[in-house]
Amino acid sequence: MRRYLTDPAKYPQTRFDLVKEAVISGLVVLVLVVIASVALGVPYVKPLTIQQVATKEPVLFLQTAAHELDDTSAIAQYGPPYNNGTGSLQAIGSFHPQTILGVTTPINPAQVDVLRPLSMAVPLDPALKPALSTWNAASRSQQDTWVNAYLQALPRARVAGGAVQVPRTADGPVPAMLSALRALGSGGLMSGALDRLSPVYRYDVAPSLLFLQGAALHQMAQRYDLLGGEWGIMHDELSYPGPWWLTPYTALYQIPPYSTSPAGDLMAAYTMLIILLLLLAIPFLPGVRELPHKLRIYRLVWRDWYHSVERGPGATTRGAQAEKRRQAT
Amino acid sequence: MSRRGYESSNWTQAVRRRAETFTWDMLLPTEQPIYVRSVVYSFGALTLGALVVVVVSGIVLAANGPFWWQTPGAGVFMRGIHYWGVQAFFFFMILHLTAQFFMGSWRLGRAGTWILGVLSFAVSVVTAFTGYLSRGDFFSQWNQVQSKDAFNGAGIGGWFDVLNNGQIYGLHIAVLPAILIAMVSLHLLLVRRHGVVPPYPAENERLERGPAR
Ligand code: HEM
Repeated sequence: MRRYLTDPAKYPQTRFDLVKEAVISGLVVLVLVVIASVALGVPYVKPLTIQQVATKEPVLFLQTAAHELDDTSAIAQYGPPYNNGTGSLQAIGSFHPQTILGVTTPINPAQVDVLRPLSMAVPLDPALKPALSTWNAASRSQQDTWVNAYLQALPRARVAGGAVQVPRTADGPVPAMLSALRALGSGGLMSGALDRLSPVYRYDVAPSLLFLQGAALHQMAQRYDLLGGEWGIMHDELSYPGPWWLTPYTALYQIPPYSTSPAGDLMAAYTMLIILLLLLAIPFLPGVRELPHKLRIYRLVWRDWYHSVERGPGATTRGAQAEKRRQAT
Repeated sequence: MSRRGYESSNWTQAVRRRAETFTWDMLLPTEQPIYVRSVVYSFGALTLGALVVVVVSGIVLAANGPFWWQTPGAGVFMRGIHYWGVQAFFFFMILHLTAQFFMGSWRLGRAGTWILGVLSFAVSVVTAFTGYLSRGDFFSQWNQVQSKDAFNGAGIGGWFDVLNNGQIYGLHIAVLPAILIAMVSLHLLLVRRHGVVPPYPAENERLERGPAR
């Protein structure tokens, strides 16, 4: 029985210079890339700092800090890897891989974001000391009552000339503590006081970013249409092409259940994993692996070859040549 | 023990025998089958060209450090080369991947080439993402706080900590590129070893020779 050709070496050959091909492709790309960077530049938007929030959005800053102090912020309730909360714990039934690695970056926002920076500031502002002692000596429920009273008064605060006047209420040492914290922030000292998970290598910016992550970053993101429902980072980069290769992934977030479920991230991640496995398996999947043959798009790629073998003027010679080579082995 | 058995149980010799099959003529052929005649065949080379641009510009960026590439001038220009190199890399890689799919290039023993290609694609996406996080501007911050929920929810956030710039930067400039370059090298070795995949049988061939895979 006659077998069809499988070995590239048995086809008629033409001369070919791989080094030339490689150099040409490299130069083509280099030229395109240089033109693009000269003509279009590269995206950059100044980072958001705690200092900016403390000076430009003082009420937002105080509100964020009060929630951190009271353990009612999103991060205080988040769950692994920061703590044992359940606020952002994603689960499908009893499947919650988030808990497997446990709490690997322990973050207690009240301590990290408020109390420790304040105790560091005591030498600069000795008046802070009694406020901190009062806070530390109080019971948990007393602390809650103070913060709640403060949070209720805060929306009625008057902001004038960089100072925030919160109406007087039964909020104990909270106003003194938080306005000292804001002074630290508007002076530009706060992120340095926060990001010290390791004493020397201050590469881990979890504390400062987690402080900013709520309302502050969202307000700024909204200005740039970056929110998840707006295709998130796909809208990235102002008018530049963002990471468009993430489209299949970000597309998931536009449709239910990914867009509606609290475990949307978990579902999207595992959906992508399944898609990756399917892509890997294409050569072995009956039905899928025959697809390109059925679609016949390959006939465009090898147009000249089919032309010569099937009907072109060289058909007989080239077909016969190939056949001869095949028979010779 | 037979000589054959001895040889096949000795992995150093197996490696040597395998290495001997990689000749210069195989790696840098002077001939190709005549069916290799289409722009489609340059997509892989263009992807590789873009990868070289990305790696070289990345080395220059890493050598000078974050302040340099955030300061207008040569640093920002080099960041532009790196950025547009990545755009070109993905552009050509998607063209290459699509073309290889429609050519059924996994046929006739080339499944490994396909698998390494898909894995390279996956590693490239993660590498590019860590790059976005390492830029050090507002977009980095935003992507950090947004994506942490995804990685945490998926169960790897406890290790892959997008808020830890040290870890993410190290992954971006050393670990992931090393993995990617190793995979692409293996991908190319396999391409050369098997030779360019032959076309599906022609109409008249198919009649004589039965259905093709
Ligand atoms: C890092 C990115 C990649 C680079 C630098 C690269 C490079 C190349 C090059 C230079 C070739 C030979 C020339 C050609 O046919 O275009 C090739 C062949 C091939 N590539 Fe890729 N590739 C990459 C990613 C991929 C991906 C994502 C896939 C598929 C999912 C893939 C699948 C293939 C296959 C199946 C072949 C063999 C074609 C044949 O035997 O004729 N590659 N690759």
